[in-house]
Amino acid sequence: MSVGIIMLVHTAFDRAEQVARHWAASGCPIVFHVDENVQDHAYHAFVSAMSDLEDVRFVKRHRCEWGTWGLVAATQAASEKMLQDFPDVRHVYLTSGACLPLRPVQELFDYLDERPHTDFIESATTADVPWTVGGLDRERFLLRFPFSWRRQRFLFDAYVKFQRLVGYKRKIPNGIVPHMGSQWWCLTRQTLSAILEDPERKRYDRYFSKVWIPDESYFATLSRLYSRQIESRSLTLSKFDYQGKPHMFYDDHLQLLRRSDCFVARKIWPFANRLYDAFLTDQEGAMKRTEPNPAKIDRIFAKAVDRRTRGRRGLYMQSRFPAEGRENGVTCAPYSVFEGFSDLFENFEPWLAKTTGARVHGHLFAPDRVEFSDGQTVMNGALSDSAKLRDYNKLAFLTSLIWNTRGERQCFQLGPMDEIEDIEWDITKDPNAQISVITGAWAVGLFKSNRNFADIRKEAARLQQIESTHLNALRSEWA
Amino acid sequence: MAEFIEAPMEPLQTIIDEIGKTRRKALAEAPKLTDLTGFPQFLQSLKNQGMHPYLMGDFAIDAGMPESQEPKPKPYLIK
Amino acid sequence: MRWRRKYAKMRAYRKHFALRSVADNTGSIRTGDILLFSTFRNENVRLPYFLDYYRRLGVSHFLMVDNDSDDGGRQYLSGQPDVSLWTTKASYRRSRFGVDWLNWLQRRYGHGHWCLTVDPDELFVYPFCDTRPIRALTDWLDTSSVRSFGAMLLDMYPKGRLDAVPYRPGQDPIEIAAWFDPGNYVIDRNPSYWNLWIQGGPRARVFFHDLPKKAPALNKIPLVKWDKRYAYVSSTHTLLPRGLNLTYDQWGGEKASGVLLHTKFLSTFSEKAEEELIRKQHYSGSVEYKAYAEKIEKDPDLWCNWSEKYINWRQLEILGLMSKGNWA
Repeated sequence: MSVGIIMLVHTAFDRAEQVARHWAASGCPIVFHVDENVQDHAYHAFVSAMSDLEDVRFVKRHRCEWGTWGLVAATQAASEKMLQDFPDVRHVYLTSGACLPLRPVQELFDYLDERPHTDFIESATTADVPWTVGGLDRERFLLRFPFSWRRQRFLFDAYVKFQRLVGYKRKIPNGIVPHMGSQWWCLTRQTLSAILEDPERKRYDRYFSKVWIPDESYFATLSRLYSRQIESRSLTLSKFDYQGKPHMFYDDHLQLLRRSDCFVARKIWPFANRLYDAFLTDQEGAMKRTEPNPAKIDRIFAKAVDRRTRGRRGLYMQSRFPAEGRENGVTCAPYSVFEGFSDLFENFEPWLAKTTGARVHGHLFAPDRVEFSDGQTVMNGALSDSAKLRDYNKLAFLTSLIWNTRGERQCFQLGPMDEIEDIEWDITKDPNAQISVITGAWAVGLFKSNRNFADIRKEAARLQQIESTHLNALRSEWA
Repeated sequence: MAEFIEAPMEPLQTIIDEIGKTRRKALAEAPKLTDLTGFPQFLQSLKNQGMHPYLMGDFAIDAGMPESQEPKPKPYLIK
Repeated sequence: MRWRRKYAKMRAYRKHFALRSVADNTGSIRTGDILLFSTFRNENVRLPYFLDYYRRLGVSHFLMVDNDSDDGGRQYLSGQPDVSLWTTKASYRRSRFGVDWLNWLQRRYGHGHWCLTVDPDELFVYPFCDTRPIRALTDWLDTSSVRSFGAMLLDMYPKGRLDAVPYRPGQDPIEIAAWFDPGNYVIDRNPSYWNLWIQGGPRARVFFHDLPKKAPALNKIPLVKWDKRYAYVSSTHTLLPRGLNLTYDQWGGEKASGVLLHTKFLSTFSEKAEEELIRKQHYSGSVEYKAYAEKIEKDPDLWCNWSEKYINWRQLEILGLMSKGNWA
């Protein structure tokens, strides 16, 4: 068989076995590497479980920890075994125990047969790569990383700082240009053997063993030296979250995976029974030559990253509570605040509603109650018209109202007689607030009132003072 | 307020346009201005009582109509 | 803070002597099992659906404390193979509303397990719960190195009188209490314990609109990868060490979170309210229950025309009550 499968396994052995048998059934030889961290009894059980298959090999075990050399050493050992024991193999596909073939194996054979000299390995220079976990891109190759990022973080960070301080820079052997990419490749025997048998291999190994996350760059870099034809993409579908960890696929991703143009997908949740059943047993039915649409998959995971890192603007909830200045927008949509208009125009609110189609409220911050539009006592989201409830947290009240009514523009009246303390500045600073003021118009209300003139005069002075302070705030923000 | 009353349509149009964003047609009807007869006298009474009302603008008493002389705070439009 | 935690643990130790084992099936607990902890009193009518709901989600074992029920609940549970049951006649109030008892059990049996702590009237909902068992959630939290998962209380209520439709054992309570308030919650941050304090919903709107400060707290962190060192401080609102309370993002992003559908307001409610007034075992010296009793008599309808009818978790996510965070 011309395609050999390497499988790096450390857990969920039953699934690894299930997938291995699937490959073996189509005639692919398989070389396993089992992480040395796995307990011996589990390892031996797995070996004996696979013992009925002819073209299966196990190699010397290495300790595989994320970001360290062990993974590369494991891959090298398995690759050497594969090339040595199976001379017919022309393409070697590197997979893990959590990978699942999406397309019939024959399709993969046909595809690779048509491209006998092509290496499929994601390989991009550091300048072009958008992801950097831990903020280190070029530095991966210029500094030394003897410490484990996961287990010895303090030492890891301290040594990095130290090297930066003294301006230490490693020499990259033979001036090779570092490249990075997904470690799940499919390489030709020619390229793979050239890398493994390179007379400079010891130097390269020494260098890369102290590079950070070497499995993302070892083969990506060295294959550039020998490959006749590189297609810089992985045949394995793998999506990453905002922390650089691979996303898991579950049963509810079945339809999505059918849209992939990849041959294999990872990582699959070991208990996603439907996925394993669909892709391993009902192969013909599963793929049905569906039109690949990988963009859809990309979108879903890109949205997930966005949701985690930027969230929904203007929303405050149990798992999103941004500190001041980090809200990325205090409210979620534009709204309009009118000061003095309803005092000057008799039918302002209905007129505004008719003219703009917006929802027009009265004084939302009136002292006695919230004057929702149309005299309602409850508003979207079940917001109550109780002034005490509103005043308990005025900003929450306002942001909730704007959130609950998204899609419909909100307008409300404001004036110096309202409870604007604690909310005045928030509205003033909010770029979503369109504020329009007719200064002094509140006096019309007093003018028409039937109160004692002495009271009126006192009230007028008080309101003027409030509005004046308010205008200063508005001006300072505007300037 | 005074200056606004002189020419209310333009600022109203601008505000409405901004809310609508796409709608640029002229306002069909204006909102109804409340009856302000006696308002200038009211302001004067406040002055007589020792207050200094200034935010409303200038309302000349005898004419009964608003009169703007110095520029007074105009309606604010943030953005 | 360390002292507060030690104090909590000491209380748990002292109070645990009041617990008497009724049925001990803890031998069947395996590594990786997801455990559920709960305290209850006279909830027999709710228990069948409760067990069924959580079994379907993937809970392997229930560790429950019966506070002297006399409605057959204890007998019902002691016959279940995946339930370990303790009973006590001690005061609920004086065990800090059951927290001391549960802290003891969690320390004893929960170490190294994901532990879900809920009341019998709380139904846990999380992103993708309709297609992924709870193990998918906990596996994902493990790989993301997250040890605690928040789920706020969402009060559910029927349309019309609370006692209009009687609740039958085995029935999905959401069939009756199908409505909730979608957007009237206020949040503040507790500077000592770092947890978020959430209030609002129908109880604030109907019973506490004059005293908003006294409205019940709706923030909860029911799902935790337990460690012997951990302790709940007050109900499942707050945990120690404090870092566990940071189930929210402060930089503008969203962490994943769920919801506890709180089905308190069923036909069983008014009886419970009366009983609680007499026993005075509840929070705030039953201020809450007094308020209920008064209001429920005059106008027992929590529904308003902006109440929302529950459909599924996606609806809650779109409304902004919970989030998928980085999960997809």
